[in-house]
Amino acid sequence: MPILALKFILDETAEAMMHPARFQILQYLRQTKEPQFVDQIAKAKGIHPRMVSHHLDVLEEKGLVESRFELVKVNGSNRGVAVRMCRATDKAEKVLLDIEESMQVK
Amino acid sequence: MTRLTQLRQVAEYVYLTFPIRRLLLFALIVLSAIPGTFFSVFYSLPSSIRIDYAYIYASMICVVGFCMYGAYKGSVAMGVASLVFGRKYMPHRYRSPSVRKLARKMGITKKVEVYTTSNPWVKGPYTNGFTSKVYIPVSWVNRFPSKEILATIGHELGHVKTGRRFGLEMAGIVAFVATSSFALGLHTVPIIAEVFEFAQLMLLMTWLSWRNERRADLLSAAAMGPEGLIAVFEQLRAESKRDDGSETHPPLKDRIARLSKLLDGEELTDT
Repeated sequence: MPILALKFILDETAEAMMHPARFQILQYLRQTKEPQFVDQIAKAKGIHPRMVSHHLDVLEEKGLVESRFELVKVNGSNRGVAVRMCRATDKAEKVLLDIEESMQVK
Repeated sequence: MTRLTQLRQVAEYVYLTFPIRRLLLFALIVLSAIPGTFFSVFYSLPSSIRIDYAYIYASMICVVGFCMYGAYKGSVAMGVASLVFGRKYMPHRYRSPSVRKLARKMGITKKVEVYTTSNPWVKGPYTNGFTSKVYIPVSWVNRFPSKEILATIGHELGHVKTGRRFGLEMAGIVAFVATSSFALGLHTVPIIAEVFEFAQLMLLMTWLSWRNERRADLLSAAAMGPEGLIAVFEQLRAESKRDDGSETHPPLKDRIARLSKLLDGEELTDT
């Protein structure tokens, strides 16, 4: 087992990613590179927006996701809407790379 | 909730899963409900191989026991093993201000005590109905995020809250079953009435237990939001090979579907 994988198990990062939806969300954020807001993730992954928010909270707690609120104009409206923009952190990148490596070893 | 929905739930309980033991139990109930079925079968045999009533009774109890064995062997074995071998694993108090807040929010006036245990025989969270103490395995505390653990505690506290109501319902069901089997006993041999009573009690208790679980889910969702519980159920479902439900718990798929309705603001009743 790679050393990084062991570290992630010890600091409970691995546990947070055991949920299939959280893993999917993290992979999606990693692939898109650009920060995404909750509704975008929900539509892309077919998960309810409230569940996406819940999973993002958990991922943020473990330091795998960063989020901040921004004003965004949605559907051509003049008024901005406050949305939670999220992106995967470097730690998430390391964790996912490590998982991929572990799977290749198998 | 309409009568039709309640009927659907009962039908769902009977037909949703098709393990052999449940079909056998169902067949036994139907047969025992027809007065004299077993009596005539055994007494049409030649007198040389006639079986004594005691043997018939014992064999029928064995059939019912076999039917229910699969369901209860896990919980009984775990309970006994937990008591005998698990004494060295002392539970530790799970002290969290969030738990006290949650209990207050759910309107529980009793003193709430939540413990974590590393006892390997305790596979999932459970509530001791007599002491109203909640136990959670340490593996769960490590595996699930704090929000989801709190939602799980909310579910267990739901059992604490509905405990007395559940007890009254149980007493009502026992009274109903005893009365109906007594009436049957007047028309047929008492042995059949006894088996009918036993089987009926088992079926009704399971239905009641499923409803009690749904109520606890709903109470937790009302206090904490349904997200935490849904996430826990989804993860458990992804980890388990089968999701047929058990004699005490409905299938996870159904519980997720029911809680998901709350995400869209739909109102659910607690029955």
